[in-house]
Amino acid sequence: MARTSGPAGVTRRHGWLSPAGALVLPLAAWELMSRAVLNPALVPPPSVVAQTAYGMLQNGELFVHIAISLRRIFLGFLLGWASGMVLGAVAARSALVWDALRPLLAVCSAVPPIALIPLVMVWFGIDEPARLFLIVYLAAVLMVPSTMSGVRNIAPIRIRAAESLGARRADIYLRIMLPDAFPFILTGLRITLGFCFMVVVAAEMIGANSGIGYLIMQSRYYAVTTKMFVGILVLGVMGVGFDALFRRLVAVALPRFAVEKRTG
Amino acid sequence: MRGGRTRLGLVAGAVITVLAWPGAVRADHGNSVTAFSGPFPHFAPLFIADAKGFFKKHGVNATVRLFDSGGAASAAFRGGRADFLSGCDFPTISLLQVEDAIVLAPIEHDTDSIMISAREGIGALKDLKGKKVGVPLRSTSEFFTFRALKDVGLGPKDVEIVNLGPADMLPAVVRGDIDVASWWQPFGWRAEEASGGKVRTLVTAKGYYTLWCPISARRKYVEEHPKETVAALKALHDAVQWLNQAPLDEKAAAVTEYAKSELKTTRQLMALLTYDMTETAEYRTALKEMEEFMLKAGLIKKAVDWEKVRGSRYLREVNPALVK
Amino acid sequence: MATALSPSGSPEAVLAPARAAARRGLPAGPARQAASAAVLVLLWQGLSDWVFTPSVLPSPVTVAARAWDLTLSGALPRHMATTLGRVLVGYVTGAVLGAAFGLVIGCLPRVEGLLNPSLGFVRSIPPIAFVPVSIILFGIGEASKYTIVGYLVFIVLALSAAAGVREVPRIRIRAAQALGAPGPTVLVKVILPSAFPFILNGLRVALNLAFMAVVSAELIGARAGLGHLIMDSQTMLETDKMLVGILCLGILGGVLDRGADLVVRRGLARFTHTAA
Repeated sequence: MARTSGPAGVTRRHGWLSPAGALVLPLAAWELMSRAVLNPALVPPPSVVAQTAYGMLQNGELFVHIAISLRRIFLGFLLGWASGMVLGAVAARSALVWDALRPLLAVCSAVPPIALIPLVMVWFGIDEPARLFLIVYLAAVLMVPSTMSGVRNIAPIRIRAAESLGARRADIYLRIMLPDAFPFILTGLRITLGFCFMVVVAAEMIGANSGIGYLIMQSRYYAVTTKMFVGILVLGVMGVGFDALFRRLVAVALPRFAVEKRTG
Repeated sequence: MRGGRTRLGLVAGAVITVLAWPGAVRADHGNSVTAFSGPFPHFAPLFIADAKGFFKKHGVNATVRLFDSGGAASAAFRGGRADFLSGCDFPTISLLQVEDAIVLAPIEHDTDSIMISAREGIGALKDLKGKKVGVPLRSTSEFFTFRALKDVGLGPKDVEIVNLGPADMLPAVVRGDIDVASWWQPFGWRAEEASGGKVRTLVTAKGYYTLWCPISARRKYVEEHPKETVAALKALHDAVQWLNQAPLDEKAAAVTEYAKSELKTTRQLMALLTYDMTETAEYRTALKEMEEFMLKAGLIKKAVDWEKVRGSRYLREVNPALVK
Repeated sequence: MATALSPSGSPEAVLAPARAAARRGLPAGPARQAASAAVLVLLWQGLSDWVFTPSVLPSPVTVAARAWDLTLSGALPRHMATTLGRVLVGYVTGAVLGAAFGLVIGCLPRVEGLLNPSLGFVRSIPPIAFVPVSIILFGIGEASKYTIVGYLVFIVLALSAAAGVREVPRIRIRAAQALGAPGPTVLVKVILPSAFPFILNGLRVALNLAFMAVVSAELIGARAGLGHLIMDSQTMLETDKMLVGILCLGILGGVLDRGADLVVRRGLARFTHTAA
């Protein structure tokens, strides 16, 4: 049973329509277009892509690519989140740090990671550290502004009240500042995670020999369109899947901060 | 609510298991020689020298890393992380502009892997006039295209050049967005398949020029490790000899396995290639011609001091007959 | 406005002076920021002199000289203008179409539910992976590039507008209908203004995305543009030119971002969200 909210949050049931079922129409359209209108050698129909994907699953190839990309994404995401959050928290509390950081951050957030690949390759090499760096860098750059918004949202009077009651520094951080800042940080996290999924393709252009991004670019380079589409599809599904997972996680574990289905 | 948390726990558990899956990152062996290359069968001697143990036989502890393209391999080479680099003529000369490298020896040459495909209706090179021609600029194909055009009296202004990589040219030429694709195999074959024959080979480099692919090394490395350099060259020479006596199926299988490419394509391609480390006058002239073209087109700024850059003396130590 | 005790309001922040300055639209301590930038440049110079080779990391002086050359020859302005043009066309097209689409499907929740998974899916595909698809569907001309710049913009705006429609208080719609307003008027005068903060938020996010996509777009047969400049320099191993391209891209992006900020603050401040 699918439910979506209408204006002012009225919930409707859709009966036989479900999110999975909603994919049937686009897939059918694609199948038709590919066979009838476009060139199936250039745009393989979903049936062929599914076949290829199945073969890749059977020989374990696909699983390896997915696992490695996920590892990169999450490792980069966590490291970037941590560093971005620390930087953002410090910058929000100290005008000096903010001023020092601002020019660098302005440039960094304006340059798309893919443009940095040649530089990263030359500076960090062509192994995992270089790939991780790209992801960590993006995640950190994205987390700083949302952390700062979050920290700025903290009501100072609550901090002062806690201090006057003799609360320890750690308690103030954990029980007052963190919950107040968290909604902003959470939104930033969600966006950052989405971007990390996107940037892994760019990161895997740096000397990788496995991964979903590698699969896509490699297949594209050798004109093996079926595998390329498998890669693109898996990437899309992963992105949507983990976003949904993230929202579910928040809704279940931190119901106070449940993220509404907003700007996607 | 509790059901939700259980399900969540299961998913989290699955996610953690996936994350813990060992990565495919190869540990750095701390070897004495690292070589970078594109994954094309043109560089098969490098792969075979590694796969068949020829490097080991000559006491060279080699790590060979493959990149998506010669360009990516060059960029990584410049980062200082490799000693040897295999590439084709154009990328090699570009590299010499910014890197103090020695061009040690050719490892392959051919005339048929570089070619031009055209849509039906275009029967000869002179028909290219006024047409949309896809060319990956800054590559061997740029040289070949203008050379071929010059031969029929056409200049760059007589055609509409569209700068595309071969992977992007494929749908473009099949769809008809461009009329002509100047590129290399296996893209020509792919285009022919995908277009149902509407796109065919117009002309290959045969008769116009020969593609040479040399192996280069960092000068510092070569001067500090002359013995290892010669040993590596000896290993490559063994590989070349192996390739020349092995039947096509066998060598194609070996290369496919190493480069993780596709057997059918690799086999088709390898049938066109000649593996040979002999430094001939033709080789020297070909590189000089490429250099001249690049200078005139403003693609490089300084001329190459070939005397300084050629590594013939190392090649001579492998076998004096290799240097003509 | 929320009171000081409510965390979701806007009380004096921990750092009031900075906040107030930011509200005025002035950077706090521009002198310090300039100093910081200067320190970075010095650090760069030091790295290029002592740590890296000039071909790996050219000095700021070399890069500046190259930028100057390129500006004089007219190449750099041309590249910047081309890239900017592509960003703007793709952005505006995607935004207009996306917002319109989103407003429509927002009014049809069943349709929105149907389309949501597909939209979310395409949203997860990075521009670089979208390039081959775009070439197959739209060819190799400017249309393809605009599509690559605009597809994410379209989706973000569609989702934002739809969310905006969903959040419109029902009572306003009913009131308008009770007063006899016809459908289109309700849409324009009630739904649109209420949905606007969401659309605005979407516009901000989408600008970022459009900018990120333009580099990938310029991989398709471009002969001008900053993305093309960067990639081209890589092929010819000209790191100084590459850095010029990267820095110009950064400057362009920064200017666009600040410009958008300014427009919002001066003209559309009453439409912004105060929370989240």
